[in-house]
Amino acid sequence: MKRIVAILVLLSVCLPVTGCWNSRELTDMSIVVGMGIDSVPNSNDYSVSFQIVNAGALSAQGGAQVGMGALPIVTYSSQDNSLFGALRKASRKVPRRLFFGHIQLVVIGEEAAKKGINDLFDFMERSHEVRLSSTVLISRGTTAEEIVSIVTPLEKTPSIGISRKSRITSQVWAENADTNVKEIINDLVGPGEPIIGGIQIIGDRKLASTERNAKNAQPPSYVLINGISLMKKGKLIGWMDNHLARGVMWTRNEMKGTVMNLPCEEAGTKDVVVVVRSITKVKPSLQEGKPKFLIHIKEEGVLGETTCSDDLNNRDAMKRIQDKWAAQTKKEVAATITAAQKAESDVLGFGSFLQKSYPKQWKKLEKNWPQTFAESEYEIQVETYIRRAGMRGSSFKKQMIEAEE
Amino acid sequence: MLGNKQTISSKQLLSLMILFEFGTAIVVHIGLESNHATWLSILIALPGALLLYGLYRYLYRQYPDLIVSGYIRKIVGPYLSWPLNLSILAYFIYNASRNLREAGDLLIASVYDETPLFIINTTMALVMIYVLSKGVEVLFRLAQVYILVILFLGITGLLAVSFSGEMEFSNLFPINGGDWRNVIQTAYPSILLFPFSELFAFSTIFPLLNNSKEAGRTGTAAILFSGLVLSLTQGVQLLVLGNSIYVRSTFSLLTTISVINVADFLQRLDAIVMLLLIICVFFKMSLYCYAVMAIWGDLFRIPNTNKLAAPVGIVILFMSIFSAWSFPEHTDEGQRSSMVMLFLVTVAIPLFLLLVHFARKTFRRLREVS
Amino acid sequence: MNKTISADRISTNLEMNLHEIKASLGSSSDLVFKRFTLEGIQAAAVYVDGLIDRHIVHDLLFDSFFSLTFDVPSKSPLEQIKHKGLSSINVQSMSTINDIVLAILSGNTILLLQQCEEALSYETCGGEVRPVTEPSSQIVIRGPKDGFNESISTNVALVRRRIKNSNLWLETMQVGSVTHTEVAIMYLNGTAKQEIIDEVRRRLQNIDYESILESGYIENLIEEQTYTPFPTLFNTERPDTVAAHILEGRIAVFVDGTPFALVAPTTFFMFFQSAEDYYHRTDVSSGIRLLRYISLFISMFGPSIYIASITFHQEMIPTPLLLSLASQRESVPFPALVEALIMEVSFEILREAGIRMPRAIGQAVSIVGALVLGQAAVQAGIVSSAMVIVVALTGISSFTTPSFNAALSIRLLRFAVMFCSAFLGFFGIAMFSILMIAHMCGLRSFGEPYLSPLTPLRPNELKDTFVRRTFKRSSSNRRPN
Repeated sequence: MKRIVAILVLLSVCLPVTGCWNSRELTDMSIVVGMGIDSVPNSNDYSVSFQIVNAGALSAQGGAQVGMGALPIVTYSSQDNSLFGALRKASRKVPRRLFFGHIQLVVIGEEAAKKGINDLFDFMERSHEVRLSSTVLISRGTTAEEIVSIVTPLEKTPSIGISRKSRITSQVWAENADTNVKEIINDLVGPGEPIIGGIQIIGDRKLASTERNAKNAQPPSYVLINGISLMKKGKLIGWMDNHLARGVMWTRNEMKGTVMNLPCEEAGTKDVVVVVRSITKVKPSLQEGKPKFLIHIKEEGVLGETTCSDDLNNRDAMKRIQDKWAAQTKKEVAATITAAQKAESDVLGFGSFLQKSYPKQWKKLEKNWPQTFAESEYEIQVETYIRRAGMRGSSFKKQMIEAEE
Repeated sequence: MLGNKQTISSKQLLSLMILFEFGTAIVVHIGLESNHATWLSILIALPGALLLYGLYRYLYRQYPDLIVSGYIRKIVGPYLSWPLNLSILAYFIYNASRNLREAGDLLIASVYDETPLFIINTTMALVMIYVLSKGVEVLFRLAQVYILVILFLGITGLLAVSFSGEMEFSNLFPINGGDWRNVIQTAYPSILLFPFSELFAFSTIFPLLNNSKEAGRTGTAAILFSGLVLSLTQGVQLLVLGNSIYVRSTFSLLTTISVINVADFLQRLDAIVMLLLIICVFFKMSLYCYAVMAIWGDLFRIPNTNKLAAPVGIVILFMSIFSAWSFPEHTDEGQRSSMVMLFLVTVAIPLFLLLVHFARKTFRRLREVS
Repeated sequence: MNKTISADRISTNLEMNLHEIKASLGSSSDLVFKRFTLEGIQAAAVYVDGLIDRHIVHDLLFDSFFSLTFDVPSKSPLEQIKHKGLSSINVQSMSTINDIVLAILSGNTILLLQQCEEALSYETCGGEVRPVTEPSSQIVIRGPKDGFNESISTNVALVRRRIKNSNLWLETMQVGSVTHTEVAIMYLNGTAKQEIIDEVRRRLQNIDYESILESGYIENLIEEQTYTPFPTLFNTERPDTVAAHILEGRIAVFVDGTPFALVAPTTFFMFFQSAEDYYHRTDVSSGIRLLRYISLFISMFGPSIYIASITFHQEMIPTPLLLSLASQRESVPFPALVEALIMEVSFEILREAGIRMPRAIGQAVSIVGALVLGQAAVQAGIVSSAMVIVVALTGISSFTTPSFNAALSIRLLRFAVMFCSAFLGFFGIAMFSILMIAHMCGLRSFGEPYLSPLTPLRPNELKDTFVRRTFKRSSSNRRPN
């Protein structure tokens, strides 16, 4: 009996030698940090490009092995009818096996987005490697491949930099949405539309993927996050830029911070309020079968800069600024809703509110929701509070004026 | 003192019951696929579960020294007991192999995509055979150690999810998923059967308790605790993933954890979920295997059941591999035929036994009176 | 080459007895015969030089024997000597050659008289022993610094000094058919369970082995299961540890010739408790104990988790760290498992070498060796720096275990886990740990489950396992056992 056990044990020790099925050495993998999906013109194929980290060039230790001064990333692309096919087909070009466990960024080409993004996401949620938390952006004016090939000076792996950039700007300037794969799928399934940020290359596109871009104090080209997509049933129909985008962020309760320039009476002067917190509640109601939405925004902010010469110690002065701010917010949100309604695209998520509150009636309204949305009524209420004014009371400009008098 | 008779304390029973209830239920989306208020269905199913457990306990208390096959013989007589016992035996083997298959498939789907199913299942089966061949007492002691591990992992996971900010409370609404009927239909019979009525397997364990009065309290505590934790887990998954993804995931807890990203440092804590799955399924499978061993030993008068560990384990292993050709087929079978069999074995048979038992008791009383 | 010593009785002829004794020891040159006359009767004292305490024998010979007078002629000379002689020495009568020879070999002095059929054996054991010094293996910062030495009587006395209680009982026996080593068990009557005492005694008496040179032999011969990597008997060089365990109801086994005493029954957690824990404050000690368990985890699973993460679960590693690791591994030609094995084996070699090296060079060489080897290996591209850190951390964690034999087991198990993790990643580690803990759950040490008080759960004792509980002000803090 003991002999049998001993033989079994010896045999089992030999098993790992045959090559353990799932073990992958780091040196056998190409770590993909960014992926771009373009549609090939005049066909149903996809062109998928991958931004792969050149690990050897990243370290000082391995630097001697790889060519000196090598770029930290390499991009490859391949085309096939399906996304998974394109992935595997890339093995004809990529020296190692692609590993998607650390993918940070997915860029969808503008043309592919216009054709519709519904088909692109099944692969991403079905695969166990791809992260649901990857940032998604749509390229404007360029192909996704160019975005994915750009080399940036401050960040060795540009995908990480771009996804971080998207996140920070959505929290600080709020004219951009930072959505990930999970949120997009949930939005696609629901009655509303997903909001995806846009990304552009500004500057010399040809030099974007060369070394010169990384080693220049004023890089010849850089990446700009710009705008929010306007979609209808998963197809890109337009863009919302600047203040329109901001309105979307407000309505969807995604506003985390922005800067409001509020002009004063004197021409050219303004008060600047930094929004610190903002909570939006949307209450749907049905009036004779027609939906109406009450949008209530409560914001808190801080006075960040002022060139007006008001007396800020005065409570009324603060109230005046608050009112200006509320009015500006209301204006922007109204403009956004108008634009969305004109395009019959429920990027604001009103449909899901209605669905949650009136499930029975929703079943009837569901079918024609884009049109019904375009005809819905809305009311915007804004409450604003300025909590602090920074490290100073009145501005020194006021003192200057008083000194002159 | 040295190598004494195998007895189990109530705390050990509690640990194993909780781990058993977790099984695969904690990592996948249980109940009907169309229901997204599963967390609510679980809570609704709890009273029924307690009732069923009360039934099992009642049967045990009538015959405190006998396991299931023993008291079936006593209640319905030697001839009718054979088909009943054999069907219970067969079903337990089938269910054990299903659990093994599910665990292996989930592991392969999530992480080990190129490893053959045979290897993963064999590893688990071999460890199970080793543990059971040392006696069931070792399994229970192991459960006591691992319940702490599971609690630790669970709390870590929960904290990570809370700190990640991925939970969207609006996903809870509408609470009933739009359809009260759906919620209740999921609770009865679906969730009642899987996982709660599976506690029937413990009828082979009760005689080993060193304090038979504790069976009721322990079982109730186990059902309530595991029910609450399962409900909480399903709720968290719904909050994080949102309706659509949650309902369609094969391995929803893993998908939930993979979204977590705390401070860019704790990322993709898939390993926690994997460990959870492996440990819970291991105990569930081992308990079923022991139940099979105990019933077999009882039916065929084999005194030392430890030796049966290897043959039963190997049968379970091979059944797990040949039971279905693909994972969707396995799930489909689970929804349909397995549910029916589960109902028959864990609800119909005990109810039938109860009725016959009562009938005999009343006849006996009538006879005594007359 | 064992000559059976005759069990014959002593003859009345002195010369014949002396001849018999000399022959049985093969005329060994350290056997001393001192012939003299006692009131006209021929007498001889026999002893082995080196086993006796010369002062006592000198006093014995000169004060007792040479100047003895027989007062009462009616009593036998032997009886008179027995009652008159030096009263502080243990005296016994013997009548077989066998007993006499054994007594001489134990350091006794034998007095033989012409025409007497009995001999007297005086306990004069002495000889050179190592003084009581600080134990070399289990060092504490605060606490008593006396350790056992090789003499069993000293060791027993050191424990007696700490427990001045009449219930502290001692039983001695001789084990080993060739070496006749003296073995003693000590326990607190009333606290220790009678079944365990009987079992220990029974197992010791049933030992059928020729030579017992160290308590390790005894450990191997009386433990229940030999096919296990885990030690089921605890050993220690410290009297305070032994005393503490005796007070808890355990049984100590002393073996002559070694400073390491055994304690039975043993649980797994005993190996992670140090006597020092009780000499410091509660919170500090609890923290250190928890640290020990964390170190246990690291030393067992450290390299395996690293290997599993690098080869199977790369998603789990934070992206910047992964990129850094990837860049390090670019220059390493080996797969992770081979690299880990190389480093671990080198570390073990260094460690073993460090123990055997003469003390002067030992410290320097091992530190230099570790640093230089590690650094040079990294630069040569044989291993990656991350692996060096992992192995170093693992090695150092394994030193926090107070008990050396447990540390040895864990070192070996670490290699097994590494193979499992290279084979199946985290699943392999999980399965192996289930296997290992199941094995531990099934182990018993003299009937006590190996993993108690964790399973079977005894909450009272559990308070003292992972953290150190406070001293209750009242005196009723006896443990249930």
